[in-house]
Amino acid sequence: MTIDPRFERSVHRWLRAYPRRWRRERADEVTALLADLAGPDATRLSAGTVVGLVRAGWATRLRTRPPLRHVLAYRLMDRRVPAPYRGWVRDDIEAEGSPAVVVLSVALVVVVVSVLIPLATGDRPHAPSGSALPALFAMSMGILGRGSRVRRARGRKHLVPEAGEELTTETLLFGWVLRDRLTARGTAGLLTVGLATAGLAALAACLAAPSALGAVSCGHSCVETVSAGRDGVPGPLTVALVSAVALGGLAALRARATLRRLVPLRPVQHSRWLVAPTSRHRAMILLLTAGAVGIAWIEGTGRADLFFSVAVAVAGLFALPR
Amino acid sequence: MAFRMSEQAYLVLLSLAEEPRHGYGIVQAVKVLSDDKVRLSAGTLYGILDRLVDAGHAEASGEVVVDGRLRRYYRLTPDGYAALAAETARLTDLASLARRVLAARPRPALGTT
Repeated sequence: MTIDPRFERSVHRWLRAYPRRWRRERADEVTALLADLAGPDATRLSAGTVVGLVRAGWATRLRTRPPLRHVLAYRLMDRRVPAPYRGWVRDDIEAEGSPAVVVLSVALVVVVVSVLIPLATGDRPHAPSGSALPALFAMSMGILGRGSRVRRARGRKHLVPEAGEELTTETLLFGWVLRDRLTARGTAGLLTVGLATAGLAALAACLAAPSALGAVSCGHSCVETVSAGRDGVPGPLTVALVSAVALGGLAALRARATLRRLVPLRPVQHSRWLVAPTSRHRAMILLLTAGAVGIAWIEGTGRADLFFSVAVAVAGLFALPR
Repeated sequence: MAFRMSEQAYLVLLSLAEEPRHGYGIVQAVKVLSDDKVRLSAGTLYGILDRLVDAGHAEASGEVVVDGRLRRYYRLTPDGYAALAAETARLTDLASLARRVLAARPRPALGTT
């Protein structure tokens, strides 16, 4: 009897406690064992099994990591670690720019800036201000975006044989391979949801934003920012939006016809390395969408002049059907 | 790194001494060998197997796929048999010593505190 996909997903989620190199080798047989132990009707791991797996996974991480002196030399001075620990280095390089690293980095910055620095200067810890959000957003995008470039550079530096090392089929070395190409089927759904969300938010901002910002005096040395009410949607904006919708609709019809013609004849792509979108790609799309929605909210509520949302709305509506 | 022989690790070695087994087979064999007193979880079993393989006491001996489930078999190496024999001898000596200690100890009289 094959394993229930829900049970398999549950196992894979909790096996993340183990290092990547371990999962790569053992995930399938452990999944089979857990399915045997759980019985035919199980759709998820029991709480006790989860606790045992997480504990054993972290014990495996601790047992198989290099000694502290090698870790420090690798982290602080970019020194190579001995060949037996090259699997650990490979895991470390592959984790570069992953969503988990982004979350940890952002959390670290928030803790330092909002808690540790205020405590050190005698102030009370405070929540990050609104102006810090763009910086955290840029930082997250920077970490996610630099992943593949940094991984290649570090692979070239660290995954090389030592002098006199005997190479075997299990030796981990850097090599040139086909780059990852995202599968259209796997990526289209994500992109569609992201584009639709950003596009609709930007469109709503365009329609709801006040038409003008102004400053009025409110007494001596006092200036207050006010927004004027909208007197209807501006003409050029309306033309741009209607054009985008029309072009998008036409493109959707054309794309549909093209797909129907091509799909039965879709060639096998031997020369491409196709991969489904990873959590890094999902995180990038999620962050970009959240950023566009955030800017739409700022512009739509009159906190800033309407500018970015017009471009996003036009681009979103134009690109969405494709 | 020296291999630390726990009771569970000893039972796993013992189960593999009979014949090569896959993960679920080892769990079942240990259950029988321990008279249903030791039930290995997946995390514990693979922790022990990792340490046995790293120490050179066991090795993977092949894999089959049954009903879409991967079964990887493990077997003892000569070092593993030697370690099992040494541990068995140690436990035998310990049991002999325990029997001598218990036999020499005067039994408490009934009714006294």
